[in-house]
Amino acid sequence: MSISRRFFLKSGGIAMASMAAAPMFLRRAVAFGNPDGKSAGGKKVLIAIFQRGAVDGLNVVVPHGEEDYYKLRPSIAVPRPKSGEKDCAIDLDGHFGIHPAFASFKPIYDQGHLAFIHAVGSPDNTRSHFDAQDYMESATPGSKSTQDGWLNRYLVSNTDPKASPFRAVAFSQALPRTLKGKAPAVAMANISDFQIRTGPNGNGKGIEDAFEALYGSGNDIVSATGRETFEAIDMLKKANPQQYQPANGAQYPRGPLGNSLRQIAQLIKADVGLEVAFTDVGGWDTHANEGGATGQLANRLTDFSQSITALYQDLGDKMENVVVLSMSEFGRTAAENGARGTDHGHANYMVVLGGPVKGGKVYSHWPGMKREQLYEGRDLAVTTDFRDVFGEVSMKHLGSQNAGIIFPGYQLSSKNFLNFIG
Amino acid sequence: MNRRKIHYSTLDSTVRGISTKVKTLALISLTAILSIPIVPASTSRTNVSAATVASQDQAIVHLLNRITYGPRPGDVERVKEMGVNAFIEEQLHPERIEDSKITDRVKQFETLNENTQELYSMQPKELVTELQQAKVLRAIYSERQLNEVMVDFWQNHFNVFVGKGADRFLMTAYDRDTIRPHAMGKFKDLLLATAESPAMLFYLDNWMNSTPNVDYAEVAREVRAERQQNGQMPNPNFPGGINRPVRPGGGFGGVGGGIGAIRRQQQRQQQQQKQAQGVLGKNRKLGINENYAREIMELHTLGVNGGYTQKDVIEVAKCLTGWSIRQPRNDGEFVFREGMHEKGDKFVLGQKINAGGMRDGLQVIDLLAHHPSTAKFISTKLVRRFVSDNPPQSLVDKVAQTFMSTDGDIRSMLKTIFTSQEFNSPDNYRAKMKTPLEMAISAVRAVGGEATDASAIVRQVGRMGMPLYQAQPPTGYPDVAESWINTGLLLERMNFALQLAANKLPGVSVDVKQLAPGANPKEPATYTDHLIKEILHGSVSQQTMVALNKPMPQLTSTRFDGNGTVADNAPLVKTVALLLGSPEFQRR
Repeated sequence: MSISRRFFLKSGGIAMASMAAAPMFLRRAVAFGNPDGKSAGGKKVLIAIFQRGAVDGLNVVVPHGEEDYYKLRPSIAVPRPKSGEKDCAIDLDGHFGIHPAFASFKPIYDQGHLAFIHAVGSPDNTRSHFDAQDYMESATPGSKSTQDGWLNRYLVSNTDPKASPFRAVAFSQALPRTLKGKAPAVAMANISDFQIRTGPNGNGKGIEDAFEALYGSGNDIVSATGRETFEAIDMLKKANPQQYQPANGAQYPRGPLGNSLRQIAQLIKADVGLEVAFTDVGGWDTHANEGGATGQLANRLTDFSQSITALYQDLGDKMENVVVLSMSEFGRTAAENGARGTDHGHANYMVVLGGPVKGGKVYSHWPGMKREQLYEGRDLAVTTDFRDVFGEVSMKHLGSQNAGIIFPGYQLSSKNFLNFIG
Repeated sequence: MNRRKIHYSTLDSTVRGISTKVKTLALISLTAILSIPIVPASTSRTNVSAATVASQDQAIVHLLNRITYGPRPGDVERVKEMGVNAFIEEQLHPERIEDSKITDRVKQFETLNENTQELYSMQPKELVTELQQAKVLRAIYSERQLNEVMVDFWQNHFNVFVGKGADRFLMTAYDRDTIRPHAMGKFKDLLLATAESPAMLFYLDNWMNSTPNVDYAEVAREVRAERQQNGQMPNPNFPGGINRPVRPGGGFGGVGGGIGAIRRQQQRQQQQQKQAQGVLGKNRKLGINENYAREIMELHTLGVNGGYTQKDVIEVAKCLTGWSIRQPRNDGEFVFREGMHEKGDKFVLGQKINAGGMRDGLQVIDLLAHHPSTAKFISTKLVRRFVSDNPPQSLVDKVAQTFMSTDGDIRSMLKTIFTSQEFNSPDNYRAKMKTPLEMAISAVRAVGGEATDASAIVRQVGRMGMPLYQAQPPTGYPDVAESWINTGLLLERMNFALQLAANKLPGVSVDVKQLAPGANPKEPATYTDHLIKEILHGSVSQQTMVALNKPMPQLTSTRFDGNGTVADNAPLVKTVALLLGSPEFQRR
């Protein structure tokens, strides 16, 4: 009989130890159930969400204490908070408020698990979506030839010999720049795609077993990776994605972001070893008819905040070890344009939430919005380098010891951290 | 020791000739008796590497794997008949190869022959789709295989990302007019063509590389002349960017005296500046932009350790100021703008450059194209593509010599590689991991697939990690194994193999029965060996052999297009799918 992987799993760790040729991933799988091993439930997780297209941060986290904000945006400004009224900013600290479409965030903010960062961005002045996204994903602003993304370099900086194949997952058709690089990372649009696909009527088991046997014993890297692939398929099957019911009454909006976040929650709950998840969401390039308290941007923000809030509810206690971090390539002009929209600007906002976050606060070295305070006389100035935010998450939350690898050419210093991670 | 030897030699005979069923069984049982690991460590890459002397067939398969997108049924025999050297010569001279079949075939993609101005009025998605499909169809069906391989190589070496702004309109011409004509020519011609290409100028920002002391009057003069030549309208298809056409003559007349004249002059200057900036990009502060200057040295010529400094980057950037695009959002034509050019002496790699105007840049390109570091860098990359992820230094040196002695003649460098001992060393057989493109194309070729519509293949290549024309960084897609092997991507390869073999890729038809004439699905022995020979060309690891000989799964419920039910074809389909999805087939 050919000795199957399952046999080894059943016979446990002792059998494993005697089997020098056992694939790496098996040993990891065994270790997951081992009290000495890293407990999957306690694993630190980062969920990074890229708002592609440059969201208008000034209308998301609204500086309602700035007179100039209202002067510069006569038709699209979000009105100052007024108690009892819906279509106005929700006050946070007397100076900043959030867009009313972010209402579902307010209780989490008040509980101290959600914070905002403002006037954050890139030292590079490009106003090209492509270049700015590229720089933010590679985290090497100004340098185009960086091949890998910062989150992949984080994985490299914090090598985990027991890493599961689902240590880094992007919910997207192709692997995003952020996760490209030497460390393994998986891209998928849907968990259910991650299998040998035999069509609706195909009896997949036979062919899957045959493929598995193909990769069963070779010592080369392809065969070893093949074995990991089938381990990974099995892990997902056990997670039983078809049967998933979100907990605590969480309702994910029907949209790509809600769909991705729901599946990320599934992976976290299934303890498949997820450490870094990435997803992105578009529709922020509001050059015309942006709207204020209601309208185009408001609708996108509702979907955005409710998707994240659903994840937060769904994960419940599991949020203890999870940090969600949003980012967007640059902000938009301080002033509205002739089409009641905004053009490409400079500094932007971020939202960060989760158990490790010291929430209930807007973290910002606020630069002000008077003309002379604006960058190049037109945009919110950057006072926090986005790498200091990524750096703080990598070091203080994920526990990387090697910032040099993650941020080549940048002197990361904890002095510059905003200290939003507790 | 002895036992191992026996094991190897048995394996070798299995590999070299094609084993009969009896031999295979004998081999398996022998392994069982010896109870040693099923595949010895040293054969991890392929069993062939255990062989010390390459058979002629192996050499031919190796050649086909490296200089084409993989052998089709009958290719090995064809090359054998004409001779290896004759085949290499043929492939080195694509212009002599009759290729009307594929030329006719890609004629359906009308955007490929449109000029760039026309393309601006079309939907970007259509342009990209046609480029992708044409690339895939040419890779499968062109007889000028080496040329297609080289086009792919240079597309990555001089990568442009189709998703960046105007590049969605400029890629068609880049592919057609910049890369293709020079893929087998002189390196310097290719380098110059890319330097002057609007696609590259836009991608790496050189179109707005300018002296900070812009001569706006000069730029405005040029712009006016150009626009009077052909009246341009803003482009509705370009997202975000609208360049308002400038009214010819507006605000440029008027002669007078006194305060009014000064005012008018000031107004005129402001207008000129505005007009020039309109062309040069809204809200852009004009100045030196180093992006292209850096990459032309780091990635296109000298290589990162090629002996240049940051000072050289700035100086090269100065030399290339004014190399721009007429109107990137309406009319992607190269233009040299004198008014943006940095005048005066520049020093590049210790050499003074002050030829004036556009000649400054031409001189830099000439300098870079003939530099010994460039010879070394290009040679290393070519040897990596055709020989090994770890390019043998001896061969790199030889190819670099060829570069220097032939004025960077690409054809000559290739010939040096293909006729070298290193190229034919058995250690290098199957030493290269196929990229997703290579895997998909070689699979379709191996099974003689007939693609009427390549979009499903394009999609799958993307899912395997290589969306065509969409490599974002200027490095292009990597050419080393580690980049292409991870669980998710490998799974997609297996799924592609299965879909293809099962005739489930829309637009692609495969008749597995034709691959094994006379096969009786009820008796796998009648076709397994035959398919191994046809698809993997004789070399197969034991784990693959074991998997192939496992009992057939019962796939009775699914029907396949045209070729009968699965009940009839399932064993054949399974065998073909497994072979295409095997570790061996992922290598070339």
